[in-house]
Amino acid sequence: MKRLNARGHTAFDYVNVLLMLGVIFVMLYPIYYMAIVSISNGTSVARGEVGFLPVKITWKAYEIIFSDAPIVTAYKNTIVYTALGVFINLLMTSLCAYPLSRKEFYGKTFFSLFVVFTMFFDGGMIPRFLVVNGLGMLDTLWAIVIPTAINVFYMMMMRTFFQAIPEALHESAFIDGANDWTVFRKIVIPLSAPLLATMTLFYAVSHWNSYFPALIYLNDNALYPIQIILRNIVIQGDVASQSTETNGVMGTLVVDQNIKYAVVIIAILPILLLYPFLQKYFVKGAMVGSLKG
Amino acid sequence: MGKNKWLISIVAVFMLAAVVLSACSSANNGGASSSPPASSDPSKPASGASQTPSEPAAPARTITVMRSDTAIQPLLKDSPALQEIMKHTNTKINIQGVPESDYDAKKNTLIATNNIPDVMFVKKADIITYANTGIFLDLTPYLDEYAPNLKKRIEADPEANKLKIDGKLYGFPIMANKEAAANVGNFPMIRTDILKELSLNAPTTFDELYEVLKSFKKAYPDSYPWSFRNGSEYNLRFLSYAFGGGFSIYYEPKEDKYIYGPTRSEFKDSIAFLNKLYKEKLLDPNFSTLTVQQWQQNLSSGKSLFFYDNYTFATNFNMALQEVNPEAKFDMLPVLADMNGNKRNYMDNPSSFNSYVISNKAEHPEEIVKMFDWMYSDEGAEATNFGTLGEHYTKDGGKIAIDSGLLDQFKDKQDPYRAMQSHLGTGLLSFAVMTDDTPMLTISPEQLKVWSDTVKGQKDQGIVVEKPLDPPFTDDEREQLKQLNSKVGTIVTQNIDKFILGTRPLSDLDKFGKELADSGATEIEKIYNDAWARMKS
Amino acid sequence: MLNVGDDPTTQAEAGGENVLRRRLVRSKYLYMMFFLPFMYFLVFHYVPMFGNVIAFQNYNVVTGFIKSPFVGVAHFKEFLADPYFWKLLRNTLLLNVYGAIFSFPAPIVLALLLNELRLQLFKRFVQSVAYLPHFLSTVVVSGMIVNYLAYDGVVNRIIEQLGGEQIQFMNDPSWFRTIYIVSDIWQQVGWGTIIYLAALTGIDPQLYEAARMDGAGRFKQIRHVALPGIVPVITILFLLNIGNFLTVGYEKILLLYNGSTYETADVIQTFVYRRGLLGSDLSFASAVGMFQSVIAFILVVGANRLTKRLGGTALW
Repeated sequence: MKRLNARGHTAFDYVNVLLMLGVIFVMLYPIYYMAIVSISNGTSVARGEVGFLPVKITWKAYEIIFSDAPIVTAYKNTIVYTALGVFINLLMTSLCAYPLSRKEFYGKTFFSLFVVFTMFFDGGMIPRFLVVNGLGMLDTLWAIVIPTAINVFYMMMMRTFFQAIPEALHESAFIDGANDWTVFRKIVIPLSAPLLATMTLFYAVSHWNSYFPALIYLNDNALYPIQIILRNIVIQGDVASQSTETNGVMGTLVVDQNIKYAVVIIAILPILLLYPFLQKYFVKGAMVGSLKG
Repeated sequence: MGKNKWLISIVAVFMLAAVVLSACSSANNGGASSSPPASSDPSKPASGASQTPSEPAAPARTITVMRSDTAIQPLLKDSPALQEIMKHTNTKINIQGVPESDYDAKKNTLIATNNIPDVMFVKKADIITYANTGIFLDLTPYLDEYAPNLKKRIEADPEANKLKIDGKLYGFPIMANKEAAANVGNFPMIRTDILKELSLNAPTTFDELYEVLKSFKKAYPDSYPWSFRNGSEYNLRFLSYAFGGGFSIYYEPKEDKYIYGPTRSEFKDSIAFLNKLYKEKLLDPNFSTLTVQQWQQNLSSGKSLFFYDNYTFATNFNMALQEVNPEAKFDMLPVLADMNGNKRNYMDNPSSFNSYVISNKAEHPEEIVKMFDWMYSDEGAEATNFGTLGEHYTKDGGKIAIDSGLLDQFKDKQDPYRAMQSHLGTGLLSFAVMTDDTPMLTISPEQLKVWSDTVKGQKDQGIVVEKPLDPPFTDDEREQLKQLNSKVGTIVTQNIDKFILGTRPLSDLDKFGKELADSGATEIEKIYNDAWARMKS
Repeated sequence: MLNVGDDPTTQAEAGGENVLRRRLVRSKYLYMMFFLPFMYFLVFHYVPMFGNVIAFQNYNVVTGFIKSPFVGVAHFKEFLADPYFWKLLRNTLLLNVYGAIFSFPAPIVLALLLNELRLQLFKRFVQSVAYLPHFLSTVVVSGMIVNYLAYDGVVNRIIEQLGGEQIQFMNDPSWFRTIYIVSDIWQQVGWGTIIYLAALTGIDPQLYEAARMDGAGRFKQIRHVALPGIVPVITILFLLNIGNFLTVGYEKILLLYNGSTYETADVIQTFVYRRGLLGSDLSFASAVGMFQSVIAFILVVGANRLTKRLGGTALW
């Protein structure tokens, strides 16, 4: 019997906790640094005076950013795209994953290959643009939420989870006269709470961070999501910015660092709040009770 | 079941939101790429005169203009400049801003899918790449009849002819009014207060600069006196020219031909110099990876005391430095003499020579040509640079004066000049083809004008020259250059830093020059010189 | 694999055709469910696939797909014959192999450790913090890396304190892969744990009980209960990762590399980018892309067959 202290913790636990503290520091410090720079005074930042604490605290950077009306509209847009997009994602992905997880689905191997193949062979941006254009979706929100309806990676994960649900549950339902659709709705989905929470998180983040489809398919600025605007601010003046001209007037277009970091913080904050909200679905042994009785 | 109900109500909310949003967007949407003209009046007499206002009876035409939108000078939909264009050419401009950071991706996609808007901003390289596909309208047949002002401007600035592909003009070049242009370029800027503090004379040659930097380092051992941004290649482009040579393919005025710099011995001087500085820790050891942010930080905090780059940055640095040390000051040095005592330096051509192209699918293109031509006229140039006459500026016997009330409105902003331009919709970053830097010189710190004049003075003496554009090439030549440049360019990039860092000995430079010549540099020279000869004849 | 409707007597009686119909009918609802996703893939993935034809053409944007001149395998020959291309391929593969060895297991290990934490609140906190870096854009992360690894940056200062010599990290080709992998792990490990943690919650606690009864310590519990429970997820993710072996996120490399580190850092995508091809020579870029896809697909087919033979889960 391993040595336990009064609370039942072993040496393993202590080491683990220490490790986790290390993880916290390594992950948190750079972001903490950006947060304090974003509330520091501009010229102090320019002189590199910010170390562990903010210098001459000011919210000016955030004021400047939010006084810009397009940003508020863009925020609203992103929320709508994300909410609608995730709904479509969950629906389509599960409708795709469930049949592929059933052994008696005739043609399962063929359809699985059919789907996985698309991960490797892609026509690219241009033909897809032509398809979207041809369907009349250009410059509408549908161009944002439909072409990315199913992510094969995530779909495969879903399929794996569905496969792990004990067959006995299906059996008993079939005996009671249920069909696949009913089983899916009434048994599989409710049991997949951690999975759906995970998928929601993944897809939500994906939508939140997405800028390329919006850039390509949207022309009306009023429809822009937040990332397009934020990227413009963060990348301005950086070396590898593909379109930066470094001569003459253009060469001096550099955004202050405190504003850039404020933008980064704004960009990640909302989505960070989503995970704790979803965490209650990650409950251990969610499926265990179902087998008894 | 509770969960189902919850799910259904969420779904309902989203669907409702989706419907509402798409309804809103279709109301706002004025049409994706090419807008149908609201009217076109072919019976209107073709105007050779640039100042004929349109008959008020004819309804306005709307065209979509797409260009990059920077975070610092955002594009506004209904600015005074655009209103002026409407007033004088009866054309409503629907300006479509695309974030500058991703402008190329969008532009390339639209070009690749043959879906470009009526008018689009492109760079020189885009004209070269796509002209022969026919996606941009060939403007040449329209010039004589509809664009007399543009023709005058091209005659005044013959460099513009280098934009022609096979003799044809495909875009409206953005040019600068040379008299009122700021003379910008990369020049040596040094902390003159420290020179004074250490009782040193301002250096006039690169060797003297070396000595001065050494003294700086001795007095401030924690500093890295010279700091670079954008890596060594960016800096070598003008540094090696100042040393009497050149980087990659460049025009050598002494021989009136194009040379691939690194194959010649003059190039060695610049590398040897940088290597010496690096070894003695006078050059920032992070020179190859320093981001712009860090570079600015170094110079604003006193960590670095000299830079050879766009001098306009100095006003920002001085502002930051003076908060802590009122004496601190960056000032311009006259161009330094190289190892042979010769002085020369590049400056930026105030004309960017990027262009606005018209889509080959645009209807009644002659009207768009007429509109652009007005923008090249004195009246149009003023409107797109200064705003509305009487309201935003006044003209006093040919001299432009910006309204002081307007200046006051912006003087407390982060970047007063850009804030003003954004509000008015004027200037290089808005919609203009003939740029004028009077607003910038008016609202910016006095120092800027002083430096600009210094540069002009040296230009008049022949020490400073504008960097020339490439001569026009044939299709074949362009194909070859693409391959050659990437091949030779990769070898150059791989080795340059090694020489500066010292991982590869300087004695290898001759061998390196030969490597380059053998892998294609000689061919590149030949192609350029052939094209140059063609142009001269 | 016996299915409910696959009664051997029925088979013998009714003959082949009847069995086929039976199976189709059996899957009726599943077909209905799969219909929408099927259409989605068809319209948005298979139809655009025809666009790959430009790899065999000299694509002209105005004449489009149908009328641009056909050049066969000219583009393929061009890059396959270039010795530099093979160097790029080697760099790409190496980065991915190192990724498979280090970046891939990292979230698994972290997830297993997180799963062992007793205090729920602490566990949630660590989780929420660990995935923060995932949300930072590549641009920001690269800026950070350049900053920390500068000649006089944080890392070098620590090295100096410990008595060592400062290292020019960003200019040394031998350091590039390490920097790339470590920063990748930093950015993605927290995020990667999410799916594994979700899988771990599905393991029956009774299995842990049983193991404890048998006298298993923490490590043994992890090895015999937790790990096997997530093997299907690990397998699928690994197979999917192999599919990415020929590509490397080029944006990050673009921001981190420079001339001195080309020999280990330059990959296929960065080379194509430098040649200005991503914008203008679409045919060449498409040919390169197709080459990468074909190789990657072959790799995955092989790996898939292997896992099937080993009795585990497979992609198809």
